[in-house]
Amino acid sequence: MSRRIPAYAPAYGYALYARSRALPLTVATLLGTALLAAVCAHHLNAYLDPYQRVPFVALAPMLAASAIGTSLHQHSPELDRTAVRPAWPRRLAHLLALTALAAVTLALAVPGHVETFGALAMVRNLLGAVGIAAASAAAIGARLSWLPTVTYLSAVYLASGAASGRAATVWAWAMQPGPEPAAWAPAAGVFVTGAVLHAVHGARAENQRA
Amino acid sequence: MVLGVLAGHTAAVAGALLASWPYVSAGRPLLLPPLADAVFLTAMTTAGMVVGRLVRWRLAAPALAVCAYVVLGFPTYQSAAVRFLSPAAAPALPALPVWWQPFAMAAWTGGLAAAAVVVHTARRRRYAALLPLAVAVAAAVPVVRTGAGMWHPDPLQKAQVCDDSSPRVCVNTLDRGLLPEVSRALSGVTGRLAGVANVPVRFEDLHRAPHHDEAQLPQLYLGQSVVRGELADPQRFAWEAAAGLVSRECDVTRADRTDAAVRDWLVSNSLSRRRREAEAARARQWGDQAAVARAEADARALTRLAAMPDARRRAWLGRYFATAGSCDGNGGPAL
Repeated sequence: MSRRIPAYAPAYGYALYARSRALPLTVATLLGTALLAAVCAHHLNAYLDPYQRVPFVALAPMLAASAIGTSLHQHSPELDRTAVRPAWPRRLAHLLALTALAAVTLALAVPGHVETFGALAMVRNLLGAVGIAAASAAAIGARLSWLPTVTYLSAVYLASGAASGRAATVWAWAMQPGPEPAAWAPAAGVFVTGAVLHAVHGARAENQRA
Repeated sequence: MVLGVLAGHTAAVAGALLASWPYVSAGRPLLLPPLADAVFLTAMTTAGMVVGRLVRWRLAAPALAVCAYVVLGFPTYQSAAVRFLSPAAAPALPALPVWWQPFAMAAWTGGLAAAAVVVHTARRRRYAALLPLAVAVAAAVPVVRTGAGMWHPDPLQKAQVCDDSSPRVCVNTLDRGLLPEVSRALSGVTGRLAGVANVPVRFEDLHRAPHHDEAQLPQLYLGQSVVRGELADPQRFAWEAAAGLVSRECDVTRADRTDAAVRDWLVSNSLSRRRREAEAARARQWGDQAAVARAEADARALTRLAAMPDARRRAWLGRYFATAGSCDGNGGPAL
């Protein structure tokens, strides 16, 4: 009996890990978000006018990042701290795998016009939004990690009508049409910062009421 | 929770009013629409708490927020009067709501939320929820029936104030604080038109089409072309005003060069110069010989107009404006 355990323990362990973090529901949410974005894109005739896609290029990554951020919770952080194996590879793999899944599905949801609020902008916004959510999870806990993401991105979305100029490309990175390096730099920077913070510290412990 | 949201809303409304206070030129702040919005926020917060108690899911709050955005935003893409049931729907032009509009919207949103709360919390007599529901429906009926008629233009937009240049520059009395600024931006154009026959009597900005002896003032759009009580781009404003003077409803190709020369001479600022240079550079870059030749001929026409003696140019402009904007004939005198 004791000899058999190593043979299937790894797969068993991953399944338990996925279940303990409600990953199936998160994956379903990500797929649902992409589906919703695709349906909206189709109904707003976005293949004729790519600017019709601005609302959901801003909103869909926000919802996906909220789902990823809240999935980072850990019921018993002391397990991570006392485990023999380091926890950071798992945390990083968890974050990167969900981000990659969301990036691919969301990019597929906006076909055509890649450089005008298309797949490029979708992936950039997702990276930035996930970065904010991961950093927030490390700072204030996974349960409310969606709050800074939603606040910042909605504020930028509502304010972007008046935003123009070089500085706006940086702070309103989420509202640029696509390939601008000055908009990718902050998004990628936020993502790397958030991923490192979360991988090193893990989600901050929260009260068990949630 | 609700109190926090209301405090935030009050702070935002007060901040917005105070921030725009120094740039107000006429009219008075509307108190009822922000109050209706406060009722709406209370209703949304309460409905969110009901949903949160029913759905125990970590993502319930952001998912509900996105759904609420879609539900509120979707009707604004529709043209039917049902869209006015969404508090996000607003008339395209600045206009005042009728007195009962804020009350109806407050009753509509508040009634729906109250019904949801009663259904969720009451253990007995759940049918009591029918009462707020009836209030909501009763409020929704006039909203949908009246539709866009719930807004009417401000009476201040039907009167105008003018400066004493020639042609006169007029703004409607809602924007009367902007008159010196607008007048200064157009002083170059009006100065060059002084003493010319057949030009429009005034630039007007009333909510109607200009009469045949009037010209349309470029749009004063708060937050876009007008920022903090000043024109965001006075050169562009002057260019648009001159372009309006020489524009034609139809395509009179042989008049294009004359129209553009008159426009650019009237404007004579660095914006019109940059536009011409950019166009010529683009033609050269693309190697389009016809476009290069056209740009050079355009430049020669402008030089000829600018080089005329003042009296002769005034007489020529008088002949030009006799037929400007018309679609028949040969497009007026050539350069």
